[in-house]
Amino acid sequence: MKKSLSRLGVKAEDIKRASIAMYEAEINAVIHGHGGMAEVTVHPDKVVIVIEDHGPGIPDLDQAMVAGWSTAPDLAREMGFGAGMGLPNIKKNCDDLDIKTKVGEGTCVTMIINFT
Amino acid sequence: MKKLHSVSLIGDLCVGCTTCSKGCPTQAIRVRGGKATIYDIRCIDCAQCIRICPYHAKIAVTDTLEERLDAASGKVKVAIVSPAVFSQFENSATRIDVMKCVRQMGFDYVFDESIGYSGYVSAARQMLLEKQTAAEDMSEDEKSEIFPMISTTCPVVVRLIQMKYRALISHLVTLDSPLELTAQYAIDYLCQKLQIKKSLIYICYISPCPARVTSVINPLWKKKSLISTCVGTHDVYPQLRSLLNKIEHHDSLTHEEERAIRISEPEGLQCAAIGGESTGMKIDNYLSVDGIENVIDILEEIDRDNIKKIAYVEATCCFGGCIGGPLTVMNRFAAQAKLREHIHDFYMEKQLFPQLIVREEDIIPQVWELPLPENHAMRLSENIGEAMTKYEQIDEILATLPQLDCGACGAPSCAAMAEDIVQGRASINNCIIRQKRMKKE
Repeated sequence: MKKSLSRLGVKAEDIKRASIAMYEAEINAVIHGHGGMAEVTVHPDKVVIVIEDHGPGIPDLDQAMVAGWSTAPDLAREMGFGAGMGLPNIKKNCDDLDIKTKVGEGTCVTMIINFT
Repeated sequence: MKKLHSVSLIGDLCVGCTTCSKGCPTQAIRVRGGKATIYDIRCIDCAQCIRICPYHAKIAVTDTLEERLDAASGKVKVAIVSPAVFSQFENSATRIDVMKCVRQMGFDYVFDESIGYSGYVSAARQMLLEKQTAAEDMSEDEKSEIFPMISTTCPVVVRLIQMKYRALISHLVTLDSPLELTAQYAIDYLCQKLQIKKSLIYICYISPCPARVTSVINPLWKKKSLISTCVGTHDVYPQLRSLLNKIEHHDSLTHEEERAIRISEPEGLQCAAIGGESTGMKIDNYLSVDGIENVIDILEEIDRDNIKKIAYVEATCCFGGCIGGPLTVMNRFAAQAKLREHIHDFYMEKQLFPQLIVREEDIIPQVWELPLPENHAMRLSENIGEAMTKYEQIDEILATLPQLDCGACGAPSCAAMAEDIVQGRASINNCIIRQKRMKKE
């Protein structure tokens, strides 16, 4: 995605925001959602990133958005993940964030980064 | 307009073999009409093509010394010698011997570029300390915008970042190059000593690489370089070598020579090899990387925010650092051993000729005159909408190409070829594999 955005002439700081947001969401999908699908759509003025998993879902979304809150397993923490900064970090780097989640069914994160 | 780069092609020697095209780290070379051509805007002067061309058709264009010295008649002729030059001779020549001989080639004054290196390293060290203090109150994100600091002594690395890792521009050390710092020192010294105007000083740089030559012609962060001309180390090597075989060694200097030669402390000299600059930073959490492919790997990691806890990155395009420069002559490992000898010799020089030594505190650090512009050579169009259309067209064309990356069309890969077609720089008929397949069908 980074390389593509760069070729399209997107500014370096926008690419950085998009990569951080996408990376964090991917990590979440891997750690909690046991893998999933990523779809990136580029528009002339923005990039829309959708990460969807069929994992356990998020029971309390407001709690999950709090910095430092984490339910990551020890294995993930041992690898340096699970600091509870993923979702807050995504929120900070996106211009628009929409999370649809249902316990037992999965989570779909839609992130929009407008080009400056 | 002046030519943008010093890397050039001798058309007669080029057989159109595509070795350089496939080996170019920025995909800046295409073979067209049987000859290699360079897209100036994508060339970062890494000289990979010069190294790998089996026919020696790629060269670095530098000036010849005789012509240049003639052009400088009536001026004070100054040579600045790259520290890589001192290690090019296998005999017992010392740094001062080499400088004596450079002077005999027709210069009035000779300065060691290590002078600027020691000034650069000491100023970079200061800059790092200041940034670290300022960063104490910063968030992790803000810190990752400026750390690790990346050295700007290798112009190839700067050009690479300018084009492919633009988010890392904020990491660069904003100091002027060691060469320009040395030149500034030389000018100040001579203006004061001889009471002459700056315009009467003619500075010639003896360079280990074409990238620095390009930086003199087209400076990265200043309007005009202080250097008047550049010659390649290999160009002056034969003359220098024969002069060195004739001179009396290191025991004495004439009064004239004492006035005309200036050298640095070991901190500057050691910067000719990879690791030297980092040692001078006096920190443990540095990283030194050499070789353009390795540099690309590290920049990629920094760009992904994967390099944590490292404060300073020293990166050189050439393996071994500047002693491995494409215009040098000696094997780089042998040169490194020789460099160690010179560093060791410093303590003897210090006793014999203390007046020749310029200390790092005598160098006035200069910062960038202009901000470093981004280079958008890799983007498909200025307009995102148009770029998206082109992107789709490239994908469509790429699907019809064999994806063997054979290079026979003159582009380094099928993807590069597809882009060239969309950009109107190549025709799909140049793909011989596709032509052949179509014939069969």
